[in-house]
Amino acid sequence: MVIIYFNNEQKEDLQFLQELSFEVGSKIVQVSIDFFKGNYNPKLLQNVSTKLNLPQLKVERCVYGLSYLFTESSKLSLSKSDFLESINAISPTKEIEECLLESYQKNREEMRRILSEMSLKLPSIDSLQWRLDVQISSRRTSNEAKPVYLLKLKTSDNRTVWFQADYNELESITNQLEIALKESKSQHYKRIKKYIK
Amino acid sequence: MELSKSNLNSLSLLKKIPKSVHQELLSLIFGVLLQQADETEIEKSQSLKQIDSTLLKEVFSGLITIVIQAIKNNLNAKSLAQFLKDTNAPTEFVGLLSTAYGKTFQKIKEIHLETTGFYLKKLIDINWRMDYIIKSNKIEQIDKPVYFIDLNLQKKDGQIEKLKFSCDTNQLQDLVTTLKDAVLAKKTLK
Repeated sequence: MVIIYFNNEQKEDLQFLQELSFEVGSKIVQVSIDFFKGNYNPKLLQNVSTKLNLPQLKVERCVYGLSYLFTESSKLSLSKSDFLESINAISPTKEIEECLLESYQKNREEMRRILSEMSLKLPSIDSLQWRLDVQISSRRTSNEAKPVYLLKLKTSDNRTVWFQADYNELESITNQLEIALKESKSQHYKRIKKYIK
Repeated sequence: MELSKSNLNSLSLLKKIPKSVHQELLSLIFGVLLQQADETEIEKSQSLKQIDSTLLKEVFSGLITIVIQAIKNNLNAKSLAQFLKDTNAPTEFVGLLSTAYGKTFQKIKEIHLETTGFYLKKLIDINWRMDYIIKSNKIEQIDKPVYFIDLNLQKKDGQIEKLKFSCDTNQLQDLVTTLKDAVLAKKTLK
């Protein structure tokens, strides 16, 4: 059973939700979800607070608190009961509780996707294009017929690398990668996967 | 095959060099081309030292150019001999030259001409590693395999550059499929 802990400051900020009507509360929850997805707009916070007639600072801190709640719960992939147990600490009203749970469940996958984008990782491969040419002549040699592969590799950090390879090399690389792929279906991997879970 | 006037001239200049020296001259030329000797050999040879240096230079450079041009145009010993006969070079010399050429032109080709073409970085080696991601400080319970691939690319001057990237199982599958297509393309060619 995994629960999120809020420090006193955060508890105070989130308990602000209790004082609000359901409509208002759900609006703030929506703002914090958008905030998480990257649509953070300080002006929006200002508009919301003036429209709802609430002190802007309190609204802002409440939004931060909710972001923390959603970040942690997505990170840990909390189950429904764990999530409800965690928000018990801020003792929300029944309606707010339901609203929070619904927002969490609806957006959890997307939030996890955003978090994994932010995680540590090496640039990944975007695409590999190849072309088979036959080298016929150059300034110093003529009359040859050497097959040569031209390759272009694009990685996710927008790098493009051009290189060439001859047939033997390409074949051995392909074989190596096939072996690598087979590893993901091997017994050893399955065992480790089972033990870690 | 076309040769400049000065090169052709060097063949006629051969007449000024005593016949006894021809063989030594040829050994020098092919030695230099095979990278087994250099011009300092001239100092070591009594007979070559006696020849006027301007003359020697001209004949030497002319003959080297002829041999290299012949290799570039893929002539075999016979065609070279034929070509030289048409230029009125001394017959005996032509015979010696073509024989030496026939024995060595493959080797010279490998040493010189195939390594001076320009090319892109060349793929020479691959290393791969498979990891299983458990969690990170941003997200837990990831539970996915990831592959790290490391390609070694060699530049013309021999320097090796490493190209590293990661991919998941699907991307690796796509990569393997693409490479297999590429390999198959060559098989249908020959």
